[in-house]
This record gives sequence, C-alpha cells and structure tokens, in this order.
Amino acid sequence: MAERGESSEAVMLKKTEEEKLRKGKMIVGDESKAGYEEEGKKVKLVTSDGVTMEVEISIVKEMEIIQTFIGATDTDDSFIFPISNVSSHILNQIIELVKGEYDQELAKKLSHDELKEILVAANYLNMKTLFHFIATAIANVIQNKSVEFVRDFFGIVNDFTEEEEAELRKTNAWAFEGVDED
Amino acid sequence: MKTTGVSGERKEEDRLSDLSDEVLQHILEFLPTRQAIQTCVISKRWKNLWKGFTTLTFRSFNEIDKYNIYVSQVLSNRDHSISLHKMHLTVFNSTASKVFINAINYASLHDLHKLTLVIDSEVKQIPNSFGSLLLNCKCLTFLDIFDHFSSSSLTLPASFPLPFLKTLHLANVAFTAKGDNNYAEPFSECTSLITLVLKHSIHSHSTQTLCISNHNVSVLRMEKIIFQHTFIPKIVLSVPKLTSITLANIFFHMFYELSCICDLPLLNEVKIDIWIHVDSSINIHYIRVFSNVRTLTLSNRILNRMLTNLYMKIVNMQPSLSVRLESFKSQMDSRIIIYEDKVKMRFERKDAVLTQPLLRVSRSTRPSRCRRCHCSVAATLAEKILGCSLFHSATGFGIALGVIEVAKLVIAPSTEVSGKMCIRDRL
Repeated sequence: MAERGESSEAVMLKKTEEEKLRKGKMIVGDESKAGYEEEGKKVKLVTSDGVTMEVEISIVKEMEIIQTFIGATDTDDSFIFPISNVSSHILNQIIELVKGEYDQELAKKLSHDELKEILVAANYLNMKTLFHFIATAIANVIQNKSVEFVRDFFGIVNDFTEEEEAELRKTNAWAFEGVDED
Repeated sequence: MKTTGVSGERKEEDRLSDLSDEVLQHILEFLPTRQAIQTCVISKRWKNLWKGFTTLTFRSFNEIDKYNIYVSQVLSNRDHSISLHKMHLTVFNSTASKVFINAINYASLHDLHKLTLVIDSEVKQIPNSFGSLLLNCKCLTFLDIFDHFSSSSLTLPASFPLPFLKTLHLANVAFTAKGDNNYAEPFSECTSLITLVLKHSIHSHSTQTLCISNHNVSVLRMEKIIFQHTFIPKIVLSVPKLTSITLANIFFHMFYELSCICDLPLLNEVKIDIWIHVDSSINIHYIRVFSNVRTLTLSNRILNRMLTNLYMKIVNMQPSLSVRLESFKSQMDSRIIIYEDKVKMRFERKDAVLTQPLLRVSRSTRPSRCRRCHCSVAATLAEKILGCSLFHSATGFGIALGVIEVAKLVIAPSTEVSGKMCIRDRL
C-alpha cells in the first residue's frame, strides 16, 4: 500500500488545535457504552466536511496513520485528529464495514462512488484490512466487465489516440483473444 | 505520482489518479490476469500497469491452443525486474509440456513464492521430469497441486528439498522409492513444512510404505489413499510436532496400515471422517495410534458402527485412550436424516456409586433435514452425551474413557429413526 498522508506530528497537533476552535461537535455511537473500559474509549476525528466524530478506539486502531498518536496520548481524550481526506459520510460507512466484520454483502450495498471514496480513504488512513476488503469489492464490480466499463468506473480519460489504442490492441492481441471459461 | 489535482474542489478522478500504481495493481490482481491485462488500453498510465503484477492467474479459456501463446506472452512481456510472488497455472493435455516447462522455468528465475498447479482432467501423461522441475523453484512457500481426476498422476521425486515450503497440498500424486526397499520418504527435506495435505495419493508396489517424516509438520490431512489390491500400503509417521491430523474418506476395502514411530506430545486434534462404513477394528487401530489426543472427532457413522459392533460383539475392542482427552465430538453426516424430535438419548451408568442416569436428553423441535440441524444434534451428542459436560466431574476423563473401554455400548435405532443410546459400566 502507498505510504501517504505524511503529516508530521507537529502539523497534526497544530491542526488539531485549530480544528478544535473552529468546529462544532457531533457525537457518533452509543455514549452510554463509554466507560472505564478500553473498549468504550473513543477518539475524536475531524472529517473533511468539518464534522467532529467520536469513533471507538477499536476502529481507530485499524487506522495506522493515527495509531501512532493514540499510543502517545493514551487516556487523554482532548486530542482531535483531522482526517482531511475523508468525509463524515464515508467515515460512517467505514465504521459500518468494520463493525460488520467486513462482510462482502455490505459492500454490495455501496454505490460505485462510495466504493471509490472508501478506497481512497483506506489508502490514506492506511487501514490494511479495509483496503484489502474494498479492493476485493471493487474487483468484484469490474470483473468480467468491458474495458470501457472499467474506464468509466475509475473516471479515466482515454488519452490514447484511436491509432495508438488500435496499435496497442494489435501488439497485445494475445490478451484479447478467446473468451474466459469462467 | 501523478498530481493533477487543483486546489479547492477536487474532482473524484483526480483523487483516484492520486492513488499509486501499487493500489491499482492490487485491485487488478484480484481479476483474472487476462482481463487485468486488457486494462492496458484504458489510458497511457494504465498501459504498463500489468507488467508489474506479482500475481498471475492463468485460468483456462475456451481456446486451449492459444493458451500456451498467451502464457508465454505474459511472461515474456512483464517487467522482469519484478519478482513473481504468486502464480496459478493450468496444465492442459495438448500444451502440457510447453506451458509447464516455460512457466516453471520463468518462475524459478523470479523467486516464485506461491504456486497453484491445476492438472486438467484431459491430461493423459505427465512427464516424470515435471516433479523435479518444480524443485527449481527454491523460494516456494506454498505449493498446491490440484487435480481434476485426470487419468495420469504427477510423480514426485524421491526427495523434495524445498527449504522454505510451509504449505503443501498434493492431489493425485505418486511417489518415488528411496531405495530398493519399497519405501518412499519424500517430505523429510522440506524443513519449514507446517501443513501437508495428501489427497488421492497413489501407492504402487515400489512405494507401498510411505514414510511421512518431518520435524516441523504440524497439520496433516490424508484423504483417499489409492493402491492396487495386491498389497496393503503402510504409512509411517515420524512427525514429532504434529498438532492436528485428519483421516478422511477411508474406504473399507482400501484401508492402510498406519503407525507412528515418534511421540506426539503436541497432538491436539484428531478427526476421523469416513463416508463409508469401515471395519471398526481399523478405526480403533487408528485411534490407538493417536492415543494422547486432546480433541477427538469421529463421524457419527463411525461412532454408530463402533457402538453396533461392540453390541454385536463383532469386535473385541479396547480403545486405549489416555487421560489427555478433553473433548470427544461426533460429526453428523449430512446425508443421514435425523429427526431431532425423535432423538431420545439416554445415558446410564450402573455401578456401585451411581444408580441414576447421568443425563437424559429429550428434545422436541422441528425435523432436522438441514446440515445446521444435524450440527445441533451433533453438538448435543458431543456436549451432553460424550463431551466435557458429562464427564467433567471429579472422576475426570480417565474414568469416562475407562467406561468406554470396559463398557457395553448399545445403540438401537428403531424404524422411526429414533435412537436410544446407553452406556453401561460392566464393573
């Protein structure tokens, strides 16, 4: 997986302070569960649309980009982590997927846009299991579909000229001949 | 990395194009390799993505004649500086040698870790050299030779020195004798091997003794040992780190002698899963080999057979299980239909101390035709009748097994598929 979201700790904490001042609060999840147990602990994440969400630590622990900071702050719940690449809608979807133990049935309910957004988010947050899950789900969507479908799915502009594409299909003809049995 | 994003509102395709090649390749590698390669015409960025794949899945397609060309084109056009981690290869009759030799040679030069080899059912003859060619792939950690019941089998070389191999699944393979003693010992040089699965392994006269000797193997599964009727094959185990063994689908006319020449201090689980009735004494023999098991699972066919044989005094058996047994499970065969509401099982132990039945189970629920319901019957059997809850007392499992050892076990299924199971102590 790509190593991205390279904010240093300092930048992150500074941002955190700013976000804290600027943003309103939105509580997600069952507050009554929050107790002294480790499971009940929540971490505040600020999404790209400026929503502060409290997310269970068990889920946040899968986000390797944030995990290192959790260790440092431990029980202190005053820290807020900005996740500028992920919207609150997508974060909610991610929480559902993690809680649903990555059931591929859940993936079938997601729109193509959601699938792609979750892929970007999983890559950014460095959530390995989610990334693998969503990559599989996307592969299931594009499997046995035409090249045009895949191009549309990823929103790619074809930058080949007609001649170039025809030439490429010709040189790689061995990959375009025959039909898969399955 | 391509950064076409402009500040402010970033469009989705920009965000996606921010993804690294590795991310896209990861998705594409879940596709059949041929479709993944076809994405080369999507855009200039995608043109060479496939060349960096570390997983290649060569599935069959309808024009087998072109399969060989396809496989060799993929291998010769990919980026040779990138090692190949995983390959799935099918071997067809018409192209067997070419495809196989070409692909395995390439794999051996590119550090292949995981190989799944599917032998098509039409394959008539597999050259003996195939087995030894596999040994060139020194980096293999996983090898699965899968077979669609082809008429020929792959012959393994006398020894199989793949030092990194952890998982080995073999179907429809024959062995090579180590000397003149009709004795094969192929796995002793797989020094990292943890899981070994043998399905339909074929024993000839020259390999009638198969020694599975390995210092690391922890999980062993053997299904359907095939041999001629003129001899009884012997399987000798020397696997001191064994934790789990499954013996499956042993036909009554195709049993083999099983022995173990080392202690099995780590043995946790033994499953004997047989579809067809086998002489109980054979099963007792197998169980005895693994006498210090902790969890023993028998299919309910075996259990019924053993109990019936005991009752009929057909066999005089004394399964000598040690005190380590903690759990005894009976696995229900989904083809045996049991109506749960008709199953009334009663357990009695008549001895000086206990005159009351230890446990009575009488359930009345809907008929259990589905597998799940059978499981619940099995769970009842295992937990309530034969498992921990029944025997978890001061007397311990030793006594429980003592009961089996000296008991007269009765199972008398009536015409209504009801069962009454009693256990009586002769003491």
